[in-house]
Amino acid sequence: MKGPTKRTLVIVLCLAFALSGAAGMFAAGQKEAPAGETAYTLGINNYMDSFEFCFKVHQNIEEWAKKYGIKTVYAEAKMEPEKVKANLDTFAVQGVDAIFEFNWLTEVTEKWVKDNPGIVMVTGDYIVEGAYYFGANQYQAGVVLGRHLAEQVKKRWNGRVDAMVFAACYQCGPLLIQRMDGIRDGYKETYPNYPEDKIFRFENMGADGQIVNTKRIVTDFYTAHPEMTHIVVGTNNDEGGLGALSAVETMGNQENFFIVSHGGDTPFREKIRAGAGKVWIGSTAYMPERYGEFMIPWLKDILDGKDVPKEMSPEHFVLTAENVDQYYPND
Amino acid sequence: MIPTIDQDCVLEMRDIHKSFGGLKALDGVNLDLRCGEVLGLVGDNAAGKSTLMKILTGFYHADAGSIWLDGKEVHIDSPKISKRLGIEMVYQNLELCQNLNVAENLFLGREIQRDPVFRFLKLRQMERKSVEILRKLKIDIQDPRKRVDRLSGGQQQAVAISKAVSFGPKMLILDEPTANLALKEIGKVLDIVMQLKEHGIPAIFISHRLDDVFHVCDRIFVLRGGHRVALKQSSETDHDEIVRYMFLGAGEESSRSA
Amino acid sequence: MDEPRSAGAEPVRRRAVPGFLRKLSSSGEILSILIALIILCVFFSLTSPYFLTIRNILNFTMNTSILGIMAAGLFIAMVIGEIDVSQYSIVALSTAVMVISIRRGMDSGLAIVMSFGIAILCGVVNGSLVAFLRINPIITTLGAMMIYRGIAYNITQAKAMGVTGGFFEAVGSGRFLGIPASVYIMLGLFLLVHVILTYTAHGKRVYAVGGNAEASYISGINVRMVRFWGMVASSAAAGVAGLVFVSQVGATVPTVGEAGLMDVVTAVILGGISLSGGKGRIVGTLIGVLILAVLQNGMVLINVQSYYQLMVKGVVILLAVLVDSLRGGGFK
Repeated sequence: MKGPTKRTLVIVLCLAFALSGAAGMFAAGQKEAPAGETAYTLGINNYMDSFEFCFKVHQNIEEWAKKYGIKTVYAEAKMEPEKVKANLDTFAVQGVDAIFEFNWLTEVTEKWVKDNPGIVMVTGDYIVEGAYYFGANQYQAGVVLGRHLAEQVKKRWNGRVDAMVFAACYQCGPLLIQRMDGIRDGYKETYPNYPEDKIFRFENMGADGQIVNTKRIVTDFYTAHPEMTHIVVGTNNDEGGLGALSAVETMGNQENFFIVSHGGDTPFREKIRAGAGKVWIGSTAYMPERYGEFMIPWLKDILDGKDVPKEMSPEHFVLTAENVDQYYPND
Repeated sequence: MIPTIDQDCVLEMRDIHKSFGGLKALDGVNLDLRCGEVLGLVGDNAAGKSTLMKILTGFYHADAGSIWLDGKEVHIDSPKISKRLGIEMVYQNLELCQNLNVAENLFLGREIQRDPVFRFLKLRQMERKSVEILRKLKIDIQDPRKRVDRLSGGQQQAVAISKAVSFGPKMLILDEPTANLALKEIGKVLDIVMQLKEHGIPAIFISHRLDDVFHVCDRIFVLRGGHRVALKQSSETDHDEIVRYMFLGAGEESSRSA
Repeated sequence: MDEPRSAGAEPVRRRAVPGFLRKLSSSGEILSILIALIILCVFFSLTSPYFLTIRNILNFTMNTSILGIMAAGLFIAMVIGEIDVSQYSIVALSTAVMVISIRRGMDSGLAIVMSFGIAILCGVVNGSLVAFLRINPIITTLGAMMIYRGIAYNITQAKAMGVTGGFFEAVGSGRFLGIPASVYIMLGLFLLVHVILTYTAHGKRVYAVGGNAEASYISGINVRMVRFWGMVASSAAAGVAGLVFVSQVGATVPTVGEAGLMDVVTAVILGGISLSGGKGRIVGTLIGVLILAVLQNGMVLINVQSYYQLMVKGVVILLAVLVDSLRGGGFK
């Protein structure tokens, strides 16, 4: 490459760099506080925006922080322990008052909290000693779902359930297991005598993905138990629900199944709007798009020194074909 | 490091045979190298020159025949043994490390070390000795810390030859030493080869450039199709005759030693 | 090409300028990435009031020391012409075994030595496959990476595990003259690599094999062993990095490095190494490590959105390569 051409290219690249940096700065989250107020600063250490759930959480927190006059600074760590620590340290240098940490690395955050006692730490969807907890109450979400299930069983099946098939990521840890236990316990509030040996648990996380695995689990189970005609399938997320629905539709016996799942996310809403609501009777909403709404006011109270509980969760309720338009009119 | 003149005859390869599968590469070749001489080895591409040299440097084993060094029979089973016997070769692609400097290349594999464990180098000493080695062959490279890839082709060739010579070898094999050089550099390299004579190191000079062969070689050995087709004193022959031997073979008797 | 001067050689010139300064100024590659680093620092200090503070600088050098330590070891392997992508997996595995053992009652000191030993063992495996069985180093370390990672997942059930202890406290939080212990470890390792590569025969042979393995072999160098030790050096560095890692985050995390896998290689390449081997200066790797650290830290400070961060990183790397090529360098 000739000298002048090279030089031009270098200049162009320098400009590109400068521009991208400047553009990045302008596109950055809101930094200015309303005049006259000493604003708090919240550091958000996210997993990554390209993960839809985390993206919604991030957006909503920023929105509500702005409403409450809280400045934000943002970083991502992609669950990399070194990056988590580095980002937290950088937040500390910038003098943040609180941090919302969303990378689910319990030990790493715990150590950092011990080493940095002056900053309010709120961990999202995972529990750390010494920090505040905001996030789903997995168990409660399950209970609400179980109650709804019991209602439907009473109304449409006269209280008969031949089997409960739980297809979930059991290796994902205790929190996800609570989702399933919650379903059982919520159901048993209405039907306390439902026998334990009619609950069948299957691991659905694997190389093929939860959708495919769940479909296979449901299909195989039904084939192995042709005498059963009232089967409940419970999954820990909407992917599992999709798999179960696919199995039921393929087998063509919608009247034999109820599907309940966690998540209340787009795939679920699409399916029940398309008419699957009689089988897929409900999914608990986790509402990542309302995390900020619930968290920020509570955080402000913490920062103001008020006496508040150390845990907070968004409201959990069951999304169904009947109420989906009410909660998500803009889908 | 550079030996004084040695009066005994140096190398004799007797009746060497080598085949690869069905192909006979060498068929009863006899070669001798006398002290103080430069022997030119010429022949076209399939003549068997490199096979013969590979046997001498231990990369191949002859199927039949024997090799004699200083009047004693030797068995060259590996390159290591060949080196130990004092046979050094300067390869066509030089085998220098372009990313290292002159001194480092000269001492490659036998660096001057302070201790055997950590192997800390005596860099100054290496550099001083390098200058000495180069001076002995009248090579004018001033700075031994200069990286080899900054040297001209001729200078690199000079370094490669110095490296081979600095081991104090009994004999040297030079494989196409002037092949890729500019005209004015060729002269310098040939001067170095002449220096070898002065230091009493006999050499086998492989080249397709007959001008150079006639310039430095005392005798010329022509190989064709695995046979020796001529062995002449360079003063008693000329280009045309050698070319005829190379491409047409022996019209007359092949083994006429001078 | 140079004109050879006439005979009548001058004596070797005395070194009027201190050796390292002369080397630095004569090396265009180092200068160009140093310029890139300085530009970055200037940029961030202008755009964020926090960047050029002592606290921040100490922070990001401390937090990059894990990467830096691995880069120092990888550098040796890459000069030889090899590569190693299994370092982070070795961190995962060696620290997993160490933490599990400590939790089961093993003496910390013993566990730490064992952790390092496991890293060396991984290096022996890598080195044997690359040097003796002559399997391509990329393929070897890709496969090894998955195996080591898999074992780490297995024994930890994919869960992070915390650990405490005097050693980890000292390395993680200890400071001497205000500078964190991990920074000393990183700089110490860089210095060690520099000394070995510049002043010992071991080091010269590393460059020799990287530059021309055939010539080295013909000169009597045991090329296989050099390649072997190159891979061991890389994993030994990973072993040390693992100890620093556990000290800093207080736990073994089996997923460590999965997203940042190529960062170590990027840092070394940024530092001006030749991909085919034989060329490169360890100080360049240090600068490369610092460039990545400054980038990561600076972009968080000025709140650059995540989508831009990757782009900016790429532009910087291209810039460094281009400036270097302007000076006549470039990959051969």
